[in-house]
This record gives sequence, structure tokens and C-alpha cells, in this order.
Amino acid sequence: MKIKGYLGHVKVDEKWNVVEKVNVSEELAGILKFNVEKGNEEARELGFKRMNGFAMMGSKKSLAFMKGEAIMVETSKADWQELFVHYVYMKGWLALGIALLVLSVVLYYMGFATPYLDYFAPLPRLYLPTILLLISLIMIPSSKTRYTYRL
Amino acid sequence: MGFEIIPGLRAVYRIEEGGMRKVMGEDINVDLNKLSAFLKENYRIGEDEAKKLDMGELLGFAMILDNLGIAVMGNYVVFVDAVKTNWNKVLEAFQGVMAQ
Repeated sequence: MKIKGYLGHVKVDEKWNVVEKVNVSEELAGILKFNVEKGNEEARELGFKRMNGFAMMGSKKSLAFMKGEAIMVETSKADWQELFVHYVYMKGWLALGIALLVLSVVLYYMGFATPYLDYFAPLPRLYLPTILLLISLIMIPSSKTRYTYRL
Repeated sequence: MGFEIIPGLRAVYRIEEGGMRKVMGEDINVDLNKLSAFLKENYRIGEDEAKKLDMGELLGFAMILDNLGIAVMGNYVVFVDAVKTNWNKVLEAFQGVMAQ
């Protein structure tokens, strides 16, 4: 996971135990806990369910927190959209796309380099794997969806 | 104004002496007095935290309550649909407005 301007991060579990800490101050986890608890309290007072995340922008460094993970970045290099939102792959869709891609390559190979498919006419031997290839090439990129909140 | 470039923009408010005044967009249905008190308090807390964490001077902050994104910088409070927005545009708009 490459994040622009990345300096360090910390991950915590539901009980605020630090699970992973890279290159950030000892104090950070405590500060996060305080902010999230305060934010959730404010959210409820204002009629919302909860605070889903927050970010702080400093003149040198910035911080974004969501879903148990905080990332510290250099302000001048930060990509804020990237910090808040990330891409996820629909795994089943991706796996099926890759399986079809592999199948089409195998069929190409069997159709032209081996005698196994000689029973079929030459053109269907070309059409079938080509169709599979096209389907897989549509499926693989479209398995990438957006807007799952990062962190 | 400059904030129009933000996708999913719902409203822009200004923090003033007595509370918050709408600059553009829809009415945000929350207790604005409470919200402005929270935002001011959070700003002060954030300034301290930024110092402790060696982040430099606090320029602004954002919080996402359910699906409502609230970004604060200078005296402006920007409300966005957190799912539809682009946070780079939020920042770009702020910088544009601040530079005016």
C-alpha cells in the first residue's frame, strides 16, 4: 500500500490496543482514542450515529483516521482523496475474471498447439477462447469498485 | 465563491461571533449552536495535538459524522456528502477561498 507523502501509521483494535505502529509518536494512540471518543459523543449529541473518521491538517504533517488506523503524511504531498477513500476489489468477480482469462489462454494453446481440439472446426476454436478473453478482460477491471472508506 | 467546484457539496457556513451563518447551499439540519461550539473546541484541542505530534501549526480539520463530511478551515465550515465528494477538491476550494 503506497500512500503519497506517507510518514508513518498506527493500527489499533476495538479496545484501543496498538496492533501495529510504524514511525509515529507513542502519544498518537492515546490522542486518537480521545478524539474518537469525543467525536462519537459530539456525533450523538448532534443526532448522528457515530463519527466515522477524522483528519487534521498541520502546516508540516497531516493525519487521517478511519476504521482503527491512522496515517501520518507530509502535508505538502498528501492526496486527501486517497487518504479517505480507497479502491477495493470484489474478490469473487476478480477470481472469476482471472479463471476465465486462464481458461481462454489454455483453450488458445490447446486449439492451436495441440491436437486435442481438432474435433472442432478451426474457427470455433478461435471464437470460444476469444469470447472468454473479452469477458475476462471486462470483468477484471470492473471488479475494482470505489468508495469503501479506507482506514 | 470557489466552493462550487466541490462534488457532493451540501452547504458552506461561516463561523461568526454569535454562531454560524449560511453562505451557500442547503440548510443543514443540526443544532448549529452546538455544532459551532464543538468545532471551536475541537480546533483548540487539535492545535494542542498538532503541536504534540510535531505536525506544525493546525490549518484545519475534517470529521465524518455518518455520511456527512464536515471540513473546517479558517472561518469556513464546509458540509459535503462524504461518499460523493472528492476531498482533494474540498482542499483545493479552501485554498482558493483563503487566497482571495
